[in-house]
Amino acid sequence: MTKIECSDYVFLQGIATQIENGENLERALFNIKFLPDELLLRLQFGDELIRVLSSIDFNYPSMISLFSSINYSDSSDILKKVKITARLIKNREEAIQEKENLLKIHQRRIKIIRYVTSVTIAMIGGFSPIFANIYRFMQTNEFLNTPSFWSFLSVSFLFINLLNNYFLLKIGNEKNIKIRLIITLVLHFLIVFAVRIFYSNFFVFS
Amino acid sequence: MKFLDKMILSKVRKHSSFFITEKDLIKLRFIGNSSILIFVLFFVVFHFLTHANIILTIAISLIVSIAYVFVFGDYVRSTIIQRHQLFDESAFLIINSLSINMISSNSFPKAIEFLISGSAFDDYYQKYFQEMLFNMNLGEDENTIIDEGKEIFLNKQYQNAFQNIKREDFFVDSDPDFLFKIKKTIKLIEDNIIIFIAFSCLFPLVLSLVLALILPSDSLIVFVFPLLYSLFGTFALRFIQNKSLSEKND
Repeated sequence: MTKIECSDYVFLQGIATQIENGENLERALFNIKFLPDELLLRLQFGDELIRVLSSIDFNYPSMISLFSSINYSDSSDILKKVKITARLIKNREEAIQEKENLLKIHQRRIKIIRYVTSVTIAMIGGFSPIFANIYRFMQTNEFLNTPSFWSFLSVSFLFINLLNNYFLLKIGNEKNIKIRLIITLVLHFLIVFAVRIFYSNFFVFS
Repeated sequence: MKFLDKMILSKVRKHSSFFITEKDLIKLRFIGNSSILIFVLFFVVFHFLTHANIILTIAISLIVSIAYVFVFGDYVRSTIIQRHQLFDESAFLIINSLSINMISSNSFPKAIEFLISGSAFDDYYQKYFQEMLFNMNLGEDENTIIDEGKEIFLNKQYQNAFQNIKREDFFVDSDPDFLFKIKKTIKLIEDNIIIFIAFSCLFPLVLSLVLALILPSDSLIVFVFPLLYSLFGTFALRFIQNKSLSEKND
């Protein structure tokens, strides 16, 4: 896939103007000067037009099908429709841009919340053996410090952390959810071990 | 498997059955089968670790496997819906190119042929239009095919335009719906995010702390909590999704 330097709207509009000036589609592609040399070379060698266009990375990939029949007719009606479509694309791109700007604020907020809750839950998960000790303390009235590295509570905190991250990622419409979840998993274990090492030392020295 | 299909894909099948690929079904089957495996695995682990009574162990492992199916099934479901929404966002291009193709070729099958040749590298809806072309070649009535074919579009405006594709004046020349929809989506997210965040921060923390103090940390019942949370979160996500989907149909 090759990227072109202009937006979809400019590309379509440029081609429409060229065709209006009496060029055919292929000549128009040469004239608008947005295509990279490599693609123009392919055109010169006689590669099929649609195939060449398909290797361009448009924002709207279905745009390519607009060109499939421009070549076969030159009525002004078609040109008008192409121009209207170009304008629609422009309107949409503006609206989407506006939406993304608005959502970006939310996304940033969600990101912060995701990190904070994730670290907090991991830390509580790290301290979870203390809960077991407190529970035993309430029952037997003596406080034992037996930090066990594995308990159902810590596993359940791990689940909660992963789920929390997953939901927040989903709501924030983020990409690469799987990779981010793996990062969370690693982070969770790191924090849990750090916390446990910290407080097992703390109890030894005090 | 049938039950799983019904539980997860019921609404999706109604709206966007063309976007369910073979791979999704394989994934769903995998989730269904591995949930049994997970049930057995958790049962064995819990049983040998805690020696708790059998009924409690079975109940907890059952909840684990149900939550597993629910969360992962919802993941598959939401990818299908997302695919359809992405398609719908660029559907105006398909209608407009069909309309242009109609002018230059003056026949609907030819126009579809042009469309397919143009979108040679997009495979989700290509199959749909190929099937349409195939049915037309078999000699089915063009108008009924067009009537049924509009189902692929979520938006009423597009459905209408597609239905009248043979008339030249039907053409997507403005889309107020799209701008409206974008505003609605923003509002929906803004409204629900606060509720969701409040829940997702407070709910897990407070409840797990309380549970941790009430229950011994090696009790199996501790596991009920993340599962409850997963059910709640999936329902909330699904609610938001369904809401944005139904607004598209307005």
